[in-house]
Amino acid sequence: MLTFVKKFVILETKVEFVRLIIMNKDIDKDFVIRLKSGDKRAFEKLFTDYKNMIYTIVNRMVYNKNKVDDLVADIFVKIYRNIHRFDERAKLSTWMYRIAYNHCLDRIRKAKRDPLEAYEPLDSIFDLSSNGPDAEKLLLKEERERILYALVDSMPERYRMVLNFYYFEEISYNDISEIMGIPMGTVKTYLFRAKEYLREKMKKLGVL
Amino acid sequence: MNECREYKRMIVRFFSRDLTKEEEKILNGHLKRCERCKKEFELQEQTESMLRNRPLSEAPVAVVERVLSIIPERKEVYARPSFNWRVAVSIAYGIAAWVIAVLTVHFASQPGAIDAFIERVSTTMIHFSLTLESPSFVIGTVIYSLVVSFSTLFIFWRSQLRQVYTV
Repeated sequence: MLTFVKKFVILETKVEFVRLIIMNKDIDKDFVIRLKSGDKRAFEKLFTDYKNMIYTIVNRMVYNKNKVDDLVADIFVKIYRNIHRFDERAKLSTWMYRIAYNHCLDRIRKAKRDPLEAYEPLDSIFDLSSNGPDAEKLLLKEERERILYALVDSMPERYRMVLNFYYFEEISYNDISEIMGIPMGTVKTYLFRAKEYLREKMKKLGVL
Repeated sequence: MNECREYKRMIVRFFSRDLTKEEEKILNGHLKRCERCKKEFELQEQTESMLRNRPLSEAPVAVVERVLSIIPERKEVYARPSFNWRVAVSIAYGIAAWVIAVLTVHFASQPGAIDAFIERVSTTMIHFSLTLESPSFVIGTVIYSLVVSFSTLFIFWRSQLRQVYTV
């Protein structure tokens, strides 16, 4: 069974990899040169390709959903203004995710200091322990997913983001470490703890 | 039970592709024997699948329009190839050395060739250097060779410059 699952996971990863290659086929040297030259159409293409990914990162990272649109716009302006600093040897997606991650982190830190901007932790809006899920609903896959995603979103920022990046695009440990500016060993530890936490919570709630 | 706790940790690590081949074999063996851990494995597999298939959020149209309106227009965009000056200077000196060597052999083998050469390129820098009676024709030849080399490289570089796109 283990071998079969492993083969399936590898196959899924390969499919994901091919998808990324197809998506990144234009992220070649010429494309980066065009971006660096200030080519508007190249930037539009970059934006079209990555807008949902950056939007998802921001959406999963900050609690105040009213700020997501502003943050995404700020991040793309930052990418546009700093594209000349991008080293072609690096991965463009990793570089952009790092900008998005750091920008959100900076915003969260500032918000913590400003009571008017304080982000509301998801636990308080979605208290899973007090509102036990309906047993019938649990049979539905959608309901299980909803609870799982809510649990992920209620985790501390670092654990949440390691988990999100890991499943987001099958980003490697090395790239996650680069995006978040933490050692690879810490990435593995966070991922392990996050998964254990999820498993325990899901079991406690009777979801699994 | 204690043994199973360790295997549960291994199951989580398996899905993070963090197990060695040896550990995988051990885990596989245990899963064949232990129903409880097998169930645990299946539950973890379900969680993994749900996490992996979590859909992306769609960026609203307002954000798309806002970002695109911020990007300024450009009239022309040129792609300039990256230019490594260290390599370029090395190549230029290489070409210069060859030019000097060829000219030296040429002048050494043919008496009077220098005069003919100076006459032929009287408008060039070598003539300029000789007429100024600078430390003779060697310096002139070196300068001439370097000018030729760098001009060649510059022409080559310009030829690589191409217009990529015009708004």
